[in-house]
Amino acid sequence: MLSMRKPSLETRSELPWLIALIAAVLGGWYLYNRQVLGIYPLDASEHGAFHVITYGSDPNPSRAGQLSKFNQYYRKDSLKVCLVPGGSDGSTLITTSCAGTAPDIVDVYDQEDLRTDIRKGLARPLNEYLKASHIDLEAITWPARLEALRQPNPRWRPGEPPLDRYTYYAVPNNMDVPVVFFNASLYQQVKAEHLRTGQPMPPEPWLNWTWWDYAALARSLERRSDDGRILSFGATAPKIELLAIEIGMSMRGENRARFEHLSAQERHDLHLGDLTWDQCVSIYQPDERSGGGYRPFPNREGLRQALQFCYDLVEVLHGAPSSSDLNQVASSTSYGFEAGFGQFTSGMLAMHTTGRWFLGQIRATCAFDWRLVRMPRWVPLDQWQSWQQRGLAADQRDGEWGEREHPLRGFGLPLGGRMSFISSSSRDPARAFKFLEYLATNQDFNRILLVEDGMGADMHIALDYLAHGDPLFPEEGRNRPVEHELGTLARLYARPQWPYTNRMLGRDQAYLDMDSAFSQPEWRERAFQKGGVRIDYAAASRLFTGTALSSPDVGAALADRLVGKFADGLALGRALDAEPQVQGPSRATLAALLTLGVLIAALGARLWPTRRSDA
Amino acid sequence: MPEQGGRRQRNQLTHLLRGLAFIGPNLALFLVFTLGPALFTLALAFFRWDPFGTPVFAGFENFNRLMADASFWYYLGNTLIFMLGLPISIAGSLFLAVVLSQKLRGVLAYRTIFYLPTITNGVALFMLWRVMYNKESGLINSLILPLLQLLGVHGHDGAPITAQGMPDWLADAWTIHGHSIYLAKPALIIMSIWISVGGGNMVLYLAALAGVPPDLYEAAEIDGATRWQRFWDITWPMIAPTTFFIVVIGTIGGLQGGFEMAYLMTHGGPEESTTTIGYYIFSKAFIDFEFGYAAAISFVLFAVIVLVTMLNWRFGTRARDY
Repeated sequence: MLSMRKPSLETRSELPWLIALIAAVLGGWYLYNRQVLGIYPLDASEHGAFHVITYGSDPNPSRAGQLSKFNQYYRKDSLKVCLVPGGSDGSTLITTSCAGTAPDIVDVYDQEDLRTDIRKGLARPLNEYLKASHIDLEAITWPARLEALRQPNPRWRPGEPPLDRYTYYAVPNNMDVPVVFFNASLYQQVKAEHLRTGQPMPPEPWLNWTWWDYAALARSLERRSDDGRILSFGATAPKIELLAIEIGMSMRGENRARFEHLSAQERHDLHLGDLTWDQCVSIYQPDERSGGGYRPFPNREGLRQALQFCYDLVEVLHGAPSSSDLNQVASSTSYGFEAGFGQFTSGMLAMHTTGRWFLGQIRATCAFDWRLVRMPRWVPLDQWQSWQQRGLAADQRDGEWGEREHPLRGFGLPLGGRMSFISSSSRDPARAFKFLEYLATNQDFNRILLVEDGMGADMHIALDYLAHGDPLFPEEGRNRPVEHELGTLARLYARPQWPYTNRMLGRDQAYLDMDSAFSQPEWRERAFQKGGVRIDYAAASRLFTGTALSSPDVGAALADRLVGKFADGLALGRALDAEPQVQGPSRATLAALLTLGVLIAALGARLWPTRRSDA
Repeated sequence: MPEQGGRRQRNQLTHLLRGLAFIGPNLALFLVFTLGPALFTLALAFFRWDPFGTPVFAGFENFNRLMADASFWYYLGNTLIFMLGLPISIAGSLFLAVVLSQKLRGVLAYRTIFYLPTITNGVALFMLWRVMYNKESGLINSLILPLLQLLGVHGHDGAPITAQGMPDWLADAWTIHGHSIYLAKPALIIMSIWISVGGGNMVLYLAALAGVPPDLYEAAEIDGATRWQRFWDITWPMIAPTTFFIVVIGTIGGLQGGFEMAYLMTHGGPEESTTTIGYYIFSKAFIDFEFGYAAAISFVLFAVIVLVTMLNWRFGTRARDY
């Protein structure tokens, strides 16, 4: 017999069941997260026995050792630090700071991000705590890094504590310098293949190798199957900014006094134009004409050469993967230091330019023989060509850029790294500062970093460590000869800061856009148009047999493009940093909004009766 | 009678409260998570705000900037070009649905296979297509290259074409009369068609076809109608409401879409040729932290979608109401 029932949700008795079901699902979900997945933290204070400092950082395995050391040291003070994985991520930090629940200590990886955090009041000033703890960061840490941590204090007057000349907002957590990780096993394998077929093979990297040696080696180490499939990439393309600065250093030479007295002819030969000493290596130069704005890349020739080199390395020599090549391995496309770590550890990338803080991961991951090599330096192409033509070995290279006369000419490295600050959400900043004190001064922490990470904030510990072999890692003697590291450290410079709050508007986006710019056919056509070819490598070196580098027009065009992008970004950054003015609608806005409004209203009026009749 | 009237009123009130109790949770969530943010976005369009600080009222600054922003118009053009795939996709879905509604052996298996791209993770699909479009080793060029070699096609250097001379579908451009035509655009359109043709639209058409009374076909057959006449005079008008629904939803989705594939496959390049309005809104809000400006773009996009939807209603009604 059929029973006629109302639809179940209309019966009175079922509403409480529905509510109970929803409550059970939500409650179960919460309990599952809390008890099974452990997402919501349990009582880290151990029933109030410890004061817990929360620390927003990435869950890097080396972090665990660093934190357990702190917890060991400060147990007597009833202090404990707990990692909040991802608590320093930009979007997470925004929401948690707004809610007042951001971790006490937050890591920041980029100086522009720190400036933004300071400007928005997310980072607390540290001067009082630094004074109370007698910590002088100027004496402890790397000079090249200080400007990223502090801002000038306009209210400071002579006679006041020297530390107060600046307002400090962060302490260095780790220091990072770019290096090249080199797959020595792959090199030996390729060398054997080349010897068998009678092809020349460039030498392994050495202390004063140049970007041209890097390119030659990268080209030799790139291997493809007959159908074009990538077997191994030679190298990653260098960062354009780093290369432009190195070229600027190469152009201005080693001797400032000599630079000031160069004749007009000498300046012409060095492509210096009217550049000053500082402008040779500047990324942005204050532009008096625009009343407070900035002009990007005053050393346009340096930028042109940097872009030309990158273009040739990627598109002509095929020593570094193009964005199309990277598509083969479904990797991200970026000319950045981080791109290619996976390819290197899997043995697919022969030379990986990245931060020294990958050392621990590479040591733990790589199943082949590898080396840590200092970054190459820049010498002019004709100088390198002359060495090659005369067959001069590494230690015989002569002349103004030679290894004997000026081994560091055209060499320089940016010092970057992670910084940590006390967030505005911290309810007990004095206790939170204990952790920053530990980061900046604790010797064990700094030593852990040297072995597993980059370098610590304490410059003296790092220099001491690098000056002596590490008994725990005897093989380091091969990977890290002392003069290698100290030579690197002698040429550190602070990476130039983006002058406006929002760096993504300009710098990063402009560099990212070069990815696709390199592969545009218009460059390719221009690169090899008749008579435009720059140099035939067959004459210069057997290493690039049959290969011609592209026309200088390509570098100039790419430089124009990059400068244009930077200029747009700088202009927009400036406009957005200025106080907004309340604006009325422009004519175009008014016309567009009115048109849209009228059309919608007219169509709505026509449709309304139709809809009613439908109903 | 007053007592009966009072009881009726009480019953009505009880019904109302009960109804509200049922729609209450949904309504609350709708207000908090849909209507609230939508109104907030509209208000935000008149402010300059990065999420760290307090919004500052800027009047029509964002709209004025938008009108003069050449990128916005270029990306709007890109979005409309990507929508050119919509009619092809709809036609493909209908064709598949017609075929799969026949009494075929293993029809369920075919339906599942064609529906697979829809239930496969989008990221996996996009990465797969990125590899397929690869210049040297991708499947597409591997299929085309032997054909070109068979036809004796030569590369720029005059030698027979090789993998190195094949187009890079996600990066290259063809220059025609000084204008660059980026291959990434058609490449992504083809991929979108492949993904959507056997998806939800096909399922909707299958349901619509199942709802067409068979006696109409029988009557037409008795009258001597051909297969095409039966489709054109019976099937097509009978499924017109479904087509209308798909066009409306597809248009709305097309105007909002393109973000995932651009983000994962091309980063909006080459030369911003695959950046859509959706991607632009994302980059302005979550990369540049210009929430006010992103809100203004969203607002304009919303108005355009309303307008296009109304146009669809206005001019699609006849087709729908056969």
